[in-house]
Amino acid sequence: MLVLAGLGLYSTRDIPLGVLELLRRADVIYFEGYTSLAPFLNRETIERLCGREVKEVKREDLEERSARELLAEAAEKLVVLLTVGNPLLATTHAAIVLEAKRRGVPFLVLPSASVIDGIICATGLHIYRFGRVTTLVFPDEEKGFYPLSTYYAIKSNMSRGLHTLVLLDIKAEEGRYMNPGYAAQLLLRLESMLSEGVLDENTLAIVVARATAPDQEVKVCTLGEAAQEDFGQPPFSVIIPGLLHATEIEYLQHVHGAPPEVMVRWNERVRKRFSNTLEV
Amino acid sequence: MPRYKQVEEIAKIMRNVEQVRNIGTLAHVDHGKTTTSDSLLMGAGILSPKVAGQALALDYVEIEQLRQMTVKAANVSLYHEWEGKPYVINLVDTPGHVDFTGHVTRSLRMMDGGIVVVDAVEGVMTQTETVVRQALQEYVRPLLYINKVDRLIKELRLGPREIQQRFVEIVKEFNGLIELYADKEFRDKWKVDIAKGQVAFGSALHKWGLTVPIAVEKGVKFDYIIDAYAHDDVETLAKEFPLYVALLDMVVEHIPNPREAQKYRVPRLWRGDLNSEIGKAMLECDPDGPTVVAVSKITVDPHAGQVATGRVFSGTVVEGEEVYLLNARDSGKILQVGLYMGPYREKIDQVSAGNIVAMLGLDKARAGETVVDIKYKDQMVPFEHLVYVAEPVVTIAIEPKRSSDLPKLVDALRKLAIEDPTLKVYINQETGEYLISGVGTLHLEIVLWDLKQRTGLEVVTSPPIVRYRETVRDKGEVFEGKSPNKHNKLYLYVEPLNEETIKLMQEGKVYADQDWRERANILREYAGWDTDEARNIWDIDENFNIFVNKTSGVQYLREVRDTIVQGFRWTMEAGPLAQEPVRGVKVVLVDAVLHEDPAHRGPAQIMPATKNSIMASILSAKPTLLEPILKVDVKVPPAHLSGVLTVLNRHRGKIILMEEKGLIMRVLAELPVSESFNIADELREATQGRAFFAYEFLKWAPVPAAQLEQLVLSIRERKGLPKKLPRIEDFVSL
Repeated sequence: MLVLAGLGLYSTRDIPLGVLELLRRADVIYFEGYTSLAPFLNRETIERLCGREVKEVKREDLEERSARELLAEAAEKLVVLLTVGNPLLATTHAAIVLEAKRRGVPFLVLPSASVIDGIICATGLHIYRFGRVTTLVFPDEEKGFYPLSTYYAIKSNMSRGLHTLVLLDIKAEEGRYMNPGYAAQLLLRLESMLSEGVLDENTLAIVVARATAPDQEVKVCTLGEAAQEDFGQPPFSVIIPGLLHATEIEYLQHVHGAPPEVMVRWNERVRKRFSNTLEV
Repeated sequence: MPRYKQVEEIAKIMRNVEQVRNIGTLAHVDHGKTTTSDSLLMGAGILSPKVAGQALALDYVEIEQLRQMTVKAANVSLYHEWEGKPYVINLVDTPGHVDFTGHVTRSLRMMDGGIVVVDAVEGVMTQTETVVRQALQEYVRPLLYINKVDRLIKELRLGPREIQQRFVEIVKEFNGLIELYADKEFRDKWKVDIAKGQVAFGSALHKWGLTVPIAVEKGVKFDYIIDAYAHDDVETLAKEFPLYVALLDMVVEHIPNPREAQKYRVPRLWRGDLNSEIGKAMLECDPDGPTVVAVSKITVDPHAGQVATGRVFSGTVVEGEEVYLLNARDSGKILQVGLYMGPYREKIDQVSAGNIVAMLGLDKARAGETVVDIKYKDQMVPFEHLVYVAEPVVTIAIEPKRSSDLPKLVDALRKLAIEDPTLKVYINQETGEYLISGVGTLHLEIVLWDLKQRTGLEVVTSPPIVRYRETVRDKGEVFEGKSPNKHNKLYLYVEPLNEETIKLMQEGKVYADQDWRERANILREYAGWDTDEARNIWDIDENFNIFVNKTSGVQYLREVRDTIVQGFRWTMEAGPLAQEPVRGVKVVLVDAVLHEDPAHRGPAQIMPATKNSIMASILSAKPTLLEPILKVDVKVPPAHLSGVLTVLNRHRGKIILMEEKGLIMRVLAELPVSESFNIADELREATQGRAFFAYEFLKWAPVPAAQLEQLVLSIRERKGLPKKLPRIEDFVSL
């Protein structure tokens, strides 16, 4: 049997008890960490916690080779594949489940806290006011690749008054991650490429650094300011708000110290720009 | 004897375009192009006082020394007086081997007229036809010089009447080519008339030459010439009737000056708007217009660095000028302007429209580049797009005898590749070998010779390896190509492009960054394309493959478009059969399913998905290998004909034509490159050295069906690939 299990977000203390118990019973334990930067959730800390050998798998094991070895093993043994966050939200592991189904290998998915709820929880924003989630990926200028769709996701959400959670690219295997300053500059660059009047230096942004970690940081600022600032260690995300609800404004003001007049002005700006398309 | 001129003097003549001519010499191999150019250089050289000083110190500049200079010179400027007026004649370097087709076109763009050298005994031959056709395609007026008249006198012992009869025949053949290949407007105007001095005849070897008007003026008859040969007194002929006078008189009188020529050449050689400021300036050859230079050749000077030589079509090139390189898409500054004094480059402040200029400082420029005043960078249309006319067909591995010389060798190869865009230099990633690919074994032999001349390095080379192409003969099925994460699926199929389409691409009439409407119209009208497909071309690669998008309403496709195109290009570099480049294939995207989030549809996902689908479809479309075929032109005395035929037969040669040409037999045949490596030795052996042969690249043709599998396996083995035939399921799940 193959179990895809989520570990939670920050440290081994976030691991659900059900998963912990499973780790003690499993025949083989795999850990994939190629999409995460969680500093206290890695092969060593998990090994120390459960006192068992944990094998690390790379992206090509699961993607190019379609988790073939893993599934072959799971046909006879209890195999656990651990993922930071929620196994089906953070990555594209649904393909492994489908492959297991196709081969007749029994499977189980054990969810846990995902980075998405961690970030939203950090800000105090209402989950009901979010539109599509998107990742801002590194452009590949040589190959002519720019993340244009991220811009359009923000536009489409904002035009309906909804917030956009923008996850910033992590290439853990290359040791590369996108910081909010780079992200703000890239978003402004996309605006200058596409010129649809969605983003500018005064666009409101809520930067979340190290969501759920003890040194988590939330800052309400403009894209122009974010472009200049250093937010410390990753991971990061940026929320581009649509229309902020009165209680959201209150939360951001009192918990995160954001000036209320800035947020009120922002709401007016969004209403004016998207007066035709806002949801009533 | 060279005349010594001051730079200022030459510059003054150059500013007056009526006193400028841009020409080149063109010929079938062995008809005397080099000796003719030498005669011109010897008789009418200009040398700067500096060089002249050195020359005097050496007592005399020997022709052989000058000749070595010209081998690598991009241009030689000559000085000539005609009817009391001074002229500057720029003799543009043309490649001696028809192999380098891209280079020929570029050289031709520099010149307005050409002296076509034809052997009086052999007459018009294959390459004569090729060079005349190419000249006329570029609107270069060809004039005729009948060379080796001494052979008519000494070998064939012809009398005056028979010699004249022979001239009439050659002129007729030559005019036949003009009738066949010239644009309507010039079909009659450009035919040559021996009585009007549009044909010169003589012997470059013995340095004499005449035109009918000169002969009439000097009252000389053929008896006199025959007599001179009878008395072994050819030196007198050279003194009395120097060849350069006959040729340069002919050039000055019958080749249009740059301004006249640009009026009809610019509309045909350049696709931009003729009513624009730049268009008008080029039509007028206006020295005050925006600067436009078409670069024909890049040389790497050991001291000065990279030198770009080209023709100024408009404006005046000034030292320190900021310019824009249209193909490199980069700006640059001209650090030094030069003009050619004889074969040498001299520094000068400026060079004006209609002339040939040498520029230093434009390190990103390659042959074929269009250089324009930076203020006009968005208004200019390049003379040529990055079209690869010549396709590398032969590869050799090269290494220095002493491994410590490797850096020196690599550096020299890199420079050679800058100068010669048809030469490809690369490293085999698996073995670390340095490989060079060229348009023929002859091309590579020249490169090796050149390398030795420059570096003195001893090198070891592998036997030549033929470069094949992969193509399809049928329409393939649509296959689903999955990305490694399985969340992106692309659906593509392939089919063969028709001959018309491939020809349009080879001629540069259809290319990647062309206006899409213009391209669609051309493809519809001349290659029978469906309007919808023709309008949805995403890309054309350098191996003549076309990518078409036939999807509609696929979400996020715009974002991954360039990535798919990159995947297409990557795939076409190495096809499924034997990882040889794919050629002449249309790839059609019919549908795509893309992941919602850009993090999961990056290049690392999309490129393999594209590749898997294309590879599978190729395998379903009757794939085959194409091999390069040469056109071989053999001249042999009839007694040895059978030896030639036996050799050709043994090597899969296909006879196209056999004809009697005077006292020799001429055999035209098709011969696969793979069979050609020892052909010179075998022909020599079979004919006791009496056969003379020339060859040029003709076409790509499918390898014989019976040999396909064995060939695929042997190439795979050589490349270290699994020695078995590839299957569709290697790329997609069935």
